[in-house]
Amino acid sequence: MTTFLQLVLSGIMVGAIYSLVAIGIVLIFKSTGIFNIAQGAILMLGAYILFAFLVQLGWPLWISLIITFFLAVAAGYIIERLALRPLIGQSFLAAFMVTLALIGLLEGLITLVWGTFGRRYPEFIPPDPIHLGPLVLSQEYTWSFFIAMGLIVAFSLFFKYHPLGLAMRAVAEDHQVAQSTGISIKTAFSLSWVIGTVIATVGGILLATSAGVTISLGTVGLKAMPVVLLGGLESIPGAIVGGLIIGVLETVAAGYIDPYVGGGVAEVAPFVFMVLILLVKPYGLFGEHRIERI
Amino acid sequence: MKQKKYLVLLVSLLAAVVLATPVLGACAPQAPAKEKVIKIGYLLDLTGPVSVSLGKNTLATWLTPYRDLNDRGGINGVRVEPMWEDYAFNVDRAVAAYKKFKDGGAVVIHPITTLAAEAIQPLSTRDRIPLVGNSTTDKLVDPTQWHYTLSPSYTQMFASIIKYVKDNWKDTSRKPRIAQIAWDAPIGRGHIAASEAYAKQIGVDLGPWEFIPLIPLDTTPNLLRIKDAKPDFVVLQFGNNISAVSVLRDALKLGMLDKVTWINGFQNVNAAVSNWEAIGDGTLGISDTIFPEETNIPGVNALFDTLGKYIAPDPATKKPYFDGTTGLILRADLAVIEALTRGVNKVGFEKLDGPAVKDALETFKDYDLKGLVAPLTFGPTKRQGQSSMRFFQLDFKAKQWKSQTNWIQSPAQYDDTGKIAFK
Amino acid sequence: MLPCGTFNETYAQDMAIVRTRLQWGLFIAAIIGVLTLPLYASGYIVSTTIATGITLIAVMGLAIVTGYCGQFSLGQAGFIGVGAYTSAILVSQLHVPFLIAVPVAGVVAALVGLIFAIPSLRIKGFYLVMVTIGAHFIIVWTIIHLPKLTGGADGMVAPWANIGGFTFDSDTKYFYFVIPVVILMTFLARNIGRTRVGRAFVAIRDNDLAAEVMGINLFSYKMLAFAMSAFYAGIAGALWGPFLGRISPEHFTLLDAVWYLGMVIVGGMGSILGAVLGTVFLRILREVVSYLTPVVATAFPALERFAPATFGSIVFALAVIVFLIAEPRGLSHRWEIFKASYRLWPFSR
Repeated sequence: MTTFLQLVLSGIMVGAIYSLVAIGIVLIFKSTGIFNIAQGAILMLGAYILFAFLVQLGWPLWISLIITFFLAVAAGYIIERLALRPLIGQSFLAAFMVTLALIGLLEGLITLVWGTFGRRYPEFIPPDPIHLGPLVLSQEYTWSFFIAMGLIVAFSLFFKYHPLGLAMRAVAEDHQVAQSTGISIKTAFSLSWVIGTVIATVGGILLATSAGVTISLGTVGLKAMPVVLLGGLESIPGAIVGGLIIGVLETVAAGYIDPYVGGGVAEVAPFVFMVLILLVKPYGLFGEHRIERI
Repeated sequence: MKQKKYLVLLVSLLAAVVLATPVLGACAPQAPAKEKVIKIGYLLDLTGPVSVSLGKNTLATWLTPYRDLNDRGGINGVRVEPMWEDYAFNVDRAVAAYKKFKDGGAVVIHPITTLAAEAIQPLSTRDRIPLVGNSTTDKLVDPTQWHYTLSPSYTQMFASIIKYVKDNWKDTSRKPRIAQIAWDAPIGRGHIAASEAYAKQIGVDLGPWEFIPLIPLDTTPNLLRIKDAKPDFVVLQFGNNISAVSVLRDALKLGMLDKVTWINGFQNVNAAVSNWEAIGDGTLGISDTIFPEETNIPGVNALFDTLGKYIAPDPATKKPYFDGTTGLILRADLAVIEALTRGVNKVGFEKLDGPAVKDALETFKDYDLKGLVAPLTFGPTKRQGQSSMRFFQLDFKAKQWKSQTNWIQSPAQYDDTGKIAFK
Repeated sequence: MLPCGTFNETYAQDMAIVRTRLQWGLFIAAIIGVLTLPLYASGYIVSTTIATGITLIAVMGLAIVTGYCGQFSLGQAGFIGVGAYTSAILVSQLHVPFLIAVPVAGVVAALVGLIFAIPSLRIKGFYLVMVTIGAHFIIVWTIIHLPKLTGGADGMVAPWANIGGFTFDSDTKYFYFVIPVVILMTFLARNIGRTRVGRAFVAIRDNDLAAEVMGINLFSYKMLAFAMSAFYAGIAGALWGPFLGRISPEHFTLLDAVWYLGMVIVGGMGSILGAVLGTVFLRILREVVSYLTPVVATAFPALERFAPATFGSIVFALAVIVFLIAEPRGLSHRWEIFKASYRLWPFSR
């Protein structure tokens, strides 16, 4: 029983990281209609920027964090302004493809600046675990869990009540209609990319504290994809719930099925589960059902 | 007409690239024409996932033995020119690079990873170009193929670990148990069946075998299972030591860090020590490489002499930087040079082709690289030059692996048909 | 738009792909030019052409399911894997002749494709993309976990192609096997678009509800599109094995599948010409970039080891981004514009 609870707990914590990546993807999709496959690479960029200030320049943590987020805002704006704004009104496919090329571009730039070495941050989140009776939790994941929860509340409220949030949803629905009601599409686009980049940076920093800063960090972006789809492409609560489900599923499946099939279940279990769920609920758990007309 | 602007930009970008190529090519130092040149191929991971474990080493460091050879007058006045290609751990690009080498007239190719060696092995056998490297799997010692290796395989590594554990086990009431946590890749899976057979034979319990992804987020489920099995030793088998640190951190969390002895596989030991954290202090490691700190080995001093001529010293140590992985690459360079020298001496420069280099390699008998590696012996049915390793212990404060044993030959050996057998 | 003075007088003329004398001339010259390539080009170019041709088959399969039928798929690399392993197992373990193993590999891949096509009736757009990504991971996982059959993670030997005792054991020989297959598959793909089936695909792509109202059976046509696409992938896979001599799960990565889709998009959706142009364009771009790496490294020896290689991938990504911004509808669209303006010249300015 303890083993099971420990697995579930670890799963929830891993799921929180997935959720953080997924929220960024959902946010950008929700307001621009672009599926950003490069979220993993952006996450990696965030992790490396902090690395530069914290380790390479040796600045204090809080200054490094502030500068990192400032630069993340700038990076989000630049990406949107240069690569995606010219594609407003064009097919979503071209935009998808641009985000795909962004992976190569960002990985290339990161390698150019920081090289291919793997490194780690000095420990700023203590490695000592938190004990809950017989169960143990690492502090990094506890942090990411609460940050993810905080973000979900903040963004749900933002999209429900704030004029900018409403405007971003309108833009996602239809560029032309939104424009005709006086909403600036460009502002909405910029804003969603900036927010998406900042969230990715949070995820990247938390992930890198435990997994190290390496150029493979971006593969986590791929893992977030079943999360996004499971929760529903437009749903921020969906990203959280999906993340937690996939996280728990992975660890529990790895814990109980691995010995029988020779390992590696954690890699496929999310996808099998996602396919099954999509068969029953084609728009994910919380996705918007589109009413189709001819 | 914004789009037109971008179109112009695109065309000019491509034009700039195409135009820049010959200009840059002209800047490069050109070898005088009509010189006698032997071409070899060099398949590298400059980028891509594996390059993480190649640390701060530079391309110039790896190519230094050739540069030094050419500056000393080459092989009887014949220059050796390495053609190199980055394949970024991608099979297609490795094959494409191989075809370039073949077109360029390479007589021997040095692939630095197993992935590359396995990808081009069938092609090189077909085209009769020998491969020399440090990758070993059960397939890569097949005597019908043209791949020669200087290193033990993971099967041999694991057999050595089993033997080491057995030899140092004092408790007669029960058998020792070794578990493994590894990447879910050939590096972690290939040796399992053979290891289990050998362990049964000499009385060591193995398992569980646990697999984690390349970027491990949480290894708790795997570690819990290992904890339940109560092993005495756990082997950490990854392509870079970052994953090992993640595992050890999770082990600390579960309170099992001090309960077992951790043994690092080849790659964890060979990769840059700077990736380690204090948590890894005192863990054991097994490897067949040499480290720059081991100045008691004549080969290491010779390497420093060669590197010192061309590579700027590292400010911290006042010596050119290289680490375990580069130690492997450099010694393969030296073996290639020796094979080329023997080939030129035997058949002459004009007739030196793939088969001639193969014949030269097969004349290696207890060839000693001044202690950089156990003596090398190749033969018509012997593709593996040596299979000795040493055990090390990580001294985190001194940032180095300290050797614990002398060269130990693996109890597992490949026979004349490439099948593994245990002594 | 037809060239000046060309009129359709019969149905056969209306349907012809190659119609004027000039086109026939160019067509024959192109075929001869490709087939004589090994005579004057270097071994590297021949080998690259084979690789491009095999990729092209897989991309054309994707052009059918995505370009014609509008169903996005990122499972193509997995289906290639199915084809490659099927053919290798048939030839090396069951000693089936290679010529039979190739179509069988296509059929097996098509059957696997059908399994993953079932969700496409209910699932659309990016949700479907995810299902096909799922297909990719499930296929690769299965290959790794059937070591008796597939050699597991270590991969297996794929024997050189052998037809009636003649072994295609060099690139030049294999070239003459692969290129005719590529031409045949291109011909088939080009014509599928003009049949009843192809028109049904396009109707589904443009509006699936409207298509259903018109009496098109959505389920069976979507299944058919996936099966055809996977069949193409299977053939491509069966050709990969004997080109490389060994196959392993590492040959079939998701990133490859994503780039196959990229080739369709860069070429332009909805046309086989687009698939051809996209594949060739990205391939050439990559070759140019990989040629640059050693040049840059030699010119600037002071750079760190990864910088020159990285420089190449940055140029590649930048070129793709700038291209998409300049021409989001793909190369084939640009080609149509060029053709029209060429035929209308001098009135096209």
